[in-house]
Amino acid sequence: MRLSTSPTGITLRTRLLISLVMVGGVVLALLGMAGSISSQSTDRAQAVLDAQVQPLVVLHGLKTRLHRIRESEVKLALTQDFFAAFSRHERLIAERKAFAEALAEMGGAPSATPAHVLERVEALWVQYDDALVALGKPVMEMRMDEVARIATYDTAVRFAALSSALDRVAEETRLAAVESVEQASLAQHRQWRNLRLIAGVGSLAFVLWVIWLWRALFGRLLALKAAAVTLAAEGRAELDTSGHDELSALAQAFDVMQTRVQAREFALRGAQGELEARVLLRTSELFDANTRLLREADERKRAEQQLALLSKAVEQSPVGILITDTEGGVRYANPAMLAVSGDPQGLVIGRLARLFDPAVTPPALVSEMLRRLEAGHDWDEELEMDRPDGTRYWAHVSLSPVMESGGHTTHYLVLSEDVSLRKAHEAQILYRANHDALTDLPNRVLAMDRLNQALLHAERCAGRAALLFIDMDNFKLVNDRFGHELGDRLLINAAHRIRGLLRAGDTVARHGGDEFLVILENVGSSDAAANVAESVREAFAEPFDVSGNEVFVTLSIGAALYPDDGNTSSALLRNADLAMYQAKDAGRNSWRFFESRLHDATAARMEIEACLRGALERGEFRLEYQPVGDTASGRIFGAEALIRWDSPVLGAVAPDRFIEVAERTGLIVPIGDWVIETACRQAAQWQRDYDPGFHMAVNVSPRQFRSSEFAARVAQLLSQHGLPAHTLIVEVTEGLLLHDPAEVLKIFETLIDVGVRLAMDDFGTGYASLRYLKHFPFHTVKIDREFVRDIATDPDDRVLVDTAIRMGRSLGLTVVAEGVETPEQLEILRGFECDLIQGYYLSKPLPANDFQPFLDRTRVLSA
Amino acid sequence: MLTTTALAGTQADHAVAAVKQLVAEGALSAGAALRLTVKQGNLASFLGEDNQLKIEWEAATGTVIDARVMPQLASRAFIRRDDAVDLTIARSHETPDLVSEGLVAPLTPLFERFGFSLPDAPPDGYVHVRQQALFNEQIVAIPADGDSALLYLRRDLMDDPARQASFQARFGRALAPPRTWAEYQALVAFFDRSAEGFFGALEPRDTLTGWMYWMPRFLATARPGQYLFDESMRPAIDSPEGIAATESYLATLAHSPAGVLKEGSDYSYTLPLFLAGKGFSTIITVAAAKLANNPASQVFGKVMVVPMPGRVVAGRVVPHPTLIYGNNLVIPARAQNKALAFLFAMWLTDPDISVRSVGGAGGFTDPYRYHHFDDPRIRAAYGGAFLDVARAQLPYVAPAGTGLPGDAAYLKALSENLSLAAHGEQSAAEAMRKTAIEWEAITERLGRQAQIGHWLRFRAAFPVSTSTPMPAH
Repeated sequence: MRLSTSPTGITLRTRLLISLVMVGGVVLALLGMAGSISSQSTDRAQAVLDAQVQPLVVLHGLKTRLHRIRESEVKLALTQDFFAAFSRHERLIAERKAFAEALAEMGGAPSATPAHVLERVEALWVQYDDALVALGKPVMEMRMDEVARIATYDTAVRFAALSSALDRVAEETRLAAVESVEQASLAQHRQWRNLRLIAGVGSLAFVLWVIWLWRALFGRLLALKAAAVTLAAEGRAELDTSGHDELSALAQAFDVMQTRVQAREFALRGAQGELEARVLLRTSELFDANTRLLREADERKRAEQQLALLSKAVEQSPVGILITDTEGGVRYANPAMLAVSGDPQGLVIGRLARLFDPAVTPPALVSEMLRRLEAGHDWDEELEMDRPDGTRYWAHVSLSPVMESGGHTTHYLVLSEDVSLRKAHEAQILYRANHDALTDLPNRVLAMDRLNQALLHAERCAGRAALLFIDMDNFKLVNDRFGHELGDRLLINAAHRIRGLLRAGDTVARHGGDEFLVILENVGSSDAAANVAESVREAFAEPFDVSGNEVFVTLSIGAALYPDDGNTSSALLRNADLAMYQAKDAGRNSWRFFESRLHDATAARMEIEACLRGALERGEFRLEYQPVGDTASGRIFGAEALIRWDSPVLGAVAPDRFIEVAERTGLIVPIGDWVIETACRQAAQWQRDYDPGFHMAVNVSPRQFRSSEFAARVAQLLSQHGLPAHTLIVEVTEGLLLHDPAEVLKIFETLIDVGVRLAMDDFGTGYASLRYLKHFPFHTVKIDREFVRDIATDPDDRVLVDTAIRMGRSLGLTVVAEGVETPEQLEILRGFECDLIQGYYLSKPLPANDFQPFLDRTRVLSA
Repeated sequence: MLTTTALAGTQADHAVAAVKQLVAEGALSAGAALRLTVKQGNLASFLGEDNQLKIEWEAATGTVIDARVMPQLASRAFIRRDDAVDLTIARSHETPDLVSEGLVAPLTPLFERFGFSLPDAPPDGYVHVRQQALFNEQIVAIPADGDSALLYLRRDLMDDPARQASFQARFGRALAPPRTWAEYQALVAFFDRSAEGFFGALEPRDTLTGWMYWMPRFLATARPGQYLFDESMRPAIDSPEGIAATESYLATLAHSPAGVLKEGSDYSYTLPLFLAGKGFSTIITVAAAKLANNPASQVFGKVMVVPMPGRVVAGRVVPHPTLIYGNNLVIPARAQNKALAFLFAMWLTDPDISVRSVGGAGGFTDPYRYHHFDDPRIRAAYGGAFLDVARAQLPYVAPAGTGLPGDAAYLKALSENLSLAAHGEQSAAEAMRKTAIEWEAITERLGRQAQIGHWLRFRAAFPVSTSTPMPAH
């Protein structure tokens, strides 16, 4: 029998060693690669954490700080105590500083967010911060209305822009995180592919090794077995004992078995010992492999601890956090979320989140949220939510999809924060901005908004709307008599009374001062508006009880209709205002509809007013002088100064057109002052050149007359120009005497102390002329031209003028007849012993340059 | 009772140990909440900068502080309305009404139970125990804010050589801080430029707080020993002294902005004007020094404080300041955790803790223990010169209000009549006559004999040093 031998001559031990080394190498390589992949998988999990969750937490922290700043400034606007305001402002400064530091820290940290987005956020923060800085000055001056204005109109927009920008950063961060997750996924995929390839090669090598071992070992052993069987059966077997390996030696030993049993056993024990050494070596290698596996398990544990830390942070976060599956079923809710939503812990998990429940949240909103989330986008909004107990609250809700490594959305992350307090404060500020603090009625701003809405509605329905402009006739007197506090209470009571007369849909607003607006929607005709105006007017017939005082006030009401009296709110307001003034002119305690002619007259007055401003400085005024003559002697007694206005725009404007405007605007005071000064200067010159007794009469308007320094100014001008006081005649009309006669009398007495003479102009045109002549210390009375004009033909006028002259003389007054144009008129007046005449019979009004020649050729009145 | 009692450890340690003892005995649950409600301006003082004091208290005792901001209401109205408060604040003059109407708990039993006291002597006692803490010889409040009135003047204008020369020529004496109200009025008129928007006096004159500015005038004008009432509770203000005080009160109006008469125009109206450099003088507590001493203030380095005007005795001034605001800690009768509230109050007003409370940023609690005036941190915040004047004035500080049950009604009558006079609707004499009549009616309504007892006890709180000239400083 022959055993095949190793053709290479390599011993079996060597072959076994080589095989073990090869198998061990493959196993070690596989273990190493699997360990590497496991470690890198842990790193990638951490990277996903860093790239997706932590930046979102940082950003949410910034938004929380931002909302805290906003809440602080809103609270600041509501603070009334100075020390409290100062403290709150200091706190706001600290919060601003903290936000700026957090923002800088975020900008300085490595981030996937594009630099230009962060720069945009920083720029918006600078803008918002600048607006917040502006709060400092009004706070220190306790101008809380200004603080409220800044909080409402300046910072609110910048806050919203910055908040939106932070949302954009979150979106950019999320997109960058998704990209990094995809890259990590690709890398992991490649690694697993390599591992599988190496594992395949290793397995193939193992199979080849087993085949080779089968052939190299067991084939020869079978031959040896056959030899042994043969030996047992035949006594001795022939074996090929050539070769150099162990089996050859075995064959040789078997060959001499009977004789060298001990030698054979020894050889077998040697082989056994050698095999045990190999086993020990293998055991050592397995121990090393086990150690590496333990190390890898430790690394996995550390990763799990990090995840537990994050979980704890989420659990203790003051921000409500909810995690749902993609069907909206709640998988997790932290305590803050349960506290905000009022949901009980045990009943939430597994149920549909209220946010996604169409029965709680509007279905369209739910669809919009799901559409964005399914598209992989965030969703951010402030919502008014219901609690299970029926109470409602405002929440700032942020939704984000949570994605696994493959980019597939597995859950939704919901962040919710209760912002009810801030919303309530903002609503309060908005209410204050739109309502009058005293009466709690809508203010002018809100009224205009309501009026615009009413006009839109009327336009759509082809209907009518009406605007009533209400003004209290004697509110100033109430204020002056009872003080501002009672005046304010009267306004509050009046507002209630008007409000009580109107429909719920109508608007009553305070336009300012003692003015109210009423906006009537859907008025079918002007009669309906008229009925309301009349009922409001009548309602004020009853007195008001203001702190125990019975106060009567009446109203003047102007009404304007849409579209009849205007198509815009501003036009209606203007026209209702005009109509109100017409009601006042008609004697007050009445109402009037707008008439277009009023508007035309007003437009004309406004044009005059515009041209009138600056006319004095531009030298557009001049004086003309109409002589006044002595009836008996024919001598020129003096002149009346008459103002003329040559407007480069309007041309020559008659005094009756512009004096009223000047009076109303107050421009009459400087113009009148110029008139007196010019007339005084001219009179002084003519006294020097013509007659030391020359008199100058000037017309003084009521407003100029009542100005506090009028008398002192007259005295100054007399002194300045060296004009004897008694040669200046101040002419006033009866209108001046109608209001506050006591004050007028006081000024009269002051002027008399100065020495000037006082004349009543246009006598006979007023209401109670005779009484005024008796009660006021006039020196002169001027009979109006209306009576003089027909004196020669109308017996009634003749009797009137005769009576007036007699009465004036009986009171010791000098009587002047105005408008004398004919010798007949002069003759009659002379017969009535009228002292002086004025009119075209002597001369029309003349410029100063023409008056001097007139004086030179003074005509003697026809005898 | 007012002397120091030996405690185991500091006042703060004692308070913390007492809380732990209560918890150990089961008298207080672990994690119990103390519901503290104070004004927004005091919150930072009571909780510390960045809530440090709150955190320390909670860590030391295991209890929590549920702090809230008090609405803008008088303490009487607030405590009546809100029953969820363990500890809050009340002004000194409010305590008689609060106690007599059963709205706050008497504290003497708690002091005795826990072995505390209110020391009132230097070096670190409370400065105004008698004026702030007592009613009918019982402790009813724990002082936590030393608000006495001080006179603020524009130092830069006082130091101006041209103005000094002009003043000398006009009044025949040197330009100097006023010793009396007459001198004050002369200064106010001298510096007034109302037409240019610079006002001689920026004293509030609204109905709610007007009495605070009348009271020191009356005390300075009255004869020594003449108080608001005589020993039979007959008003002493319908007198030449009362009328003179009222005329002094009204005289500044010609040199003040019209807004001071508007309702609600308290220091929140006048102080911003003064800090904006629009006035020569104002009267307020030392809290304003914190603002004037701020480098960002427009009047930084331009302001001085001087003692309140008073009278001159032997050529030296005896000032007559009064407490005006003064927030003290009180425990509502309906409080659920009275013991915890009391122990926190004692912890907060501990000598060391209170220094941090008063000296911290963001709060406006004024020094109320003697050593506060020497603490470097507090001196840096307020300005040392301001505190020195406030301290020198301490012995002369009179209590606030009438000290009587019905104080709100008495002060309302006084303030409304002063307001009518300020609006020109009645004379000073008429204001005093009508106030006296109304006071008599209030006294009759509350019971004259009972009121006499209260009044005689309250008079003991007036300083005995009002006849002793103030030392030079």
